[in-house]
Amino acid sequence: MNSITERASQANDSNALADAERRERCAPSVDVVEFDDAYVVTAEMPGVCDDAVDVDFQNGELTICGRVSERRREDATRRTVGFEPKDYFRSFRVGNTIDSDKIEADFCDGLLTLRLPKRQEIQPRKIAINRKSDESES
Amino acid sequence: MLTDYLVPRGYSFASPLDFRRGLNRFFSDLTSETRGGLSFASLENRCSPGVWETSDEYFVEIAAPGIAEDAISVELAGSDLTVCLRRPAKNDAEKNGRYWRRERAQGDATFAVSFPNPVDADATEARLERGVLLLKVPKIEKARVKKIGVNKTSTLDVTATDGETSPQTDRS
Repeated sequence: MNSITERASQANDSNALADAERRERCAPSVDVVEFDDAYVVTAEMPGVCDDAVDVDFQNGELTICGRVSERRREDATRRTVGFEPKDYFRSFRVGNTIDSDKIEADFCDGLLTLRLPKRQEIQPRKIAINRKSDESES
Repeated sequence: MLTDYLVPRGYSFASPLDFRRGLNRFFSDLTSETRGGLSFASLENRCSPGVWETSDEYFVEIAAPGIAEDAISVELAGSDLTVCLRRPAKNDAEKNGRYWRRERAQGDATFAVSFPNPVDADATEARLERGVLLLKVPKIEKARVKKIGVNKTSTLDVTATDGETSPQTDRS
């Protein structure tokens, strides 16, 4: 649900987005690997709870969204500009090659793995070649 | 094909003024390390440890998504902290695939943090949770910040303490 509203807010002129909100979210690092039968997307979202991940597929667009609930102690002072758990958001335009009913998602230890199976009709198919001798035999 | 929205959808140029505004925003987004409200340039920051300090401890956070506890080693020698991560090797299936995008860090990594104050190695805690390694490193008692109350001159006894002299008496 949340991811839909967020998409809507981004589709508007993002001047409307508060600066604070813009700083909060960051893009997760992803690996996208293509196999014969599927694409596999692996996204790193450290600090995100299992139940705070949203994966949304709509109109050929894949949206990944993760929220971090923990906030830092107020008396802590930042000493290096390093890793900090943040909310994650990223969207991909996916062609019409994906069978959206069969998308699988797995989230474990801050790592989101998505398997996007290709539609059956576009998967590479081995064509058996009949030999002439076989044909003549039959 | 999977195509990223690198150019955010917020950029629409209905009039020349919009174009100028959009152009300004595009460059300010670039310099402020964000694009379309998303921070891409924080990638290298994300790989280094985040260190936070309170009056009596340090917190170190390291991103370790998908890494098991036994693939992490943490050492503390004096005030020098060393953390080693061993990232799992890519499996065969991934080797057979074709990469369209490869942003995740690979291989082993070593992080080193030197604390400016002496720290208590025995009381240091390390916790791996949701792909984040969180270290809590307490400062030793002496190095902790102490609040010192300020008294009015009339009630402060400058001559009393075991031969120690206050700066005020030095000057006089």
